[in-house]
Amino acid sequence: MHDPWTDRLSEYIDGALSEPERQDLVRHLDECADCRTIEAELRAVAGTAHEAPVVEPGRDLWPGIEAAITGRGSAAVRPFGSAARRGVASGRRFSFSMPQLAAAAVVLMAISGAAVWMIRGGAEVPVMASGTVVQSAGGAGPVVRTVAVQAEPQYANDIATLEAALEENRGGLDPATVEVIERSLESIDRAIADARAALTTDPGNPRLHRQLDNTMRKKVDILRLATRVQRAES
Amino acid sequence: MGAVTLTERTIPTIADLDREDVRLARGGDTVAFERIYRRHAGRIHTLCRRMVTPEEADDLTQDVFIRAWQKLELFRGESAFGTWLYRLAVNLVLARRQTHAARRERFGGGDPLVIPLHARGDRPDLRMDFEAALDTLPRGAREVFVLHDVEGYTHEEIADLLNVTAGTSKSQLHRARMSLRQYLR
Repeated sequence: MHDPWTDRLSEYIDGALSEPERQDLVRHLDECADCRTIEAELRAVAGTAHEAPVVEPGRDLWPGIEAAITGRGSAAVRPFGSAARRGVASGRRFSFSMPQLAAAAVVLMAISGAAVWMIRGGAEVPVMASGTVVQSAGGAGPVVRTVAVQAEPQYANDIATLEAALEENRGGLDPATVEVIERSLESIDRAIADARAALTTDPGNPRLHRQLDNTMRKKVDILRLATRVQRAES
Repeated sequence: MGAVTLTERTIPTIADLDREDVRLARGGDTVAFERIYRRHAGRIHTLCRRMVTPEEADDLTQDVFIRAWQKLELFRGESAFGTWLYRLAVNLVLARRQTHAARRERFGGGDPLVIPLHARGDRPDLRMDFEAALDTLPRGAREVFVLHDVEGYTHEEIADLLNVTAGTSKSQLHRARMSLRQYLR
């Protein structure tokens, strides 16, 4: 049977009980050997924590830090200003600098723009046969259809998580960065909306499913890129 | 005799050394910043190691110092530099945990399972060192335990850091201690 006093023992050893509660617990400890044992063990755990030794890194981390803060591998004294700060952004651990982000954003915008054009019927897109095989209604033979909609909820979760993280620290981003990110996201959102609209009229179209899937993945990619830049800049 | 005894010398403290190196590092002196790293890497890594997996701890420690370099201008000297750095590390660890929690959820993982008590009990062969024992705790209990019992934060401070209630912090601490006593006795 569970002794409810056991749940109060941590508060007791931390001195967090009210005086009447403490007196009641002291009386209980006089009578309960099990609780006395647990109390002693909890005190030992807390004592171990206070005395726990320092855990040194398994390797020298300085070379990686130095590479990140200088943008190169050798030690150097550099002015601590905008140039040095840019060096951080382009360091090893943050592989996307602002120019790279801008370039990536342009590419993504081009991709999403192309997606809009393709969705509106501008071109045929080859579809990878990664879906299920179903029999066509006319029985003329198997028809391969790509089922890409399964990935959408996962992308939606990722997008929501990344957007929340981005929004939370929005103030830490350079305004120019924010502008680039927002332009890219608007373009991609338009492509996603267009794909969804097209799917409402042609829900079985594997090309549209794949396009929606690709566009949402692009959005996740650019959000990830943005959060990495945000971490580097904040 | 004019012999100089130890008591007559001014022996610089860690805070004195930090103060001078922070001043130099603000000017872009990475050698001074390396000295700061050497003085504090152990403590920062210890925090990271206890809050995330061993594999993540090294990367996180690096990130703390990179972030510290970026934010040196914001250090106003109102507290010891070590305190400022440590607080920065705690914030970074907790921010990182949100990302990792989302990832774990996405891939179907979760908190590490606590080995049932009956599987350990009086088995001396299952005793383990402090770090390994910490790894057995669920994430929430481990974070509260490290912040409270190792680092000395109050429940109110932990509640603020972890965005939980002080009551939740207390119950997680008790949960952690109850589990750890099985490993450490």
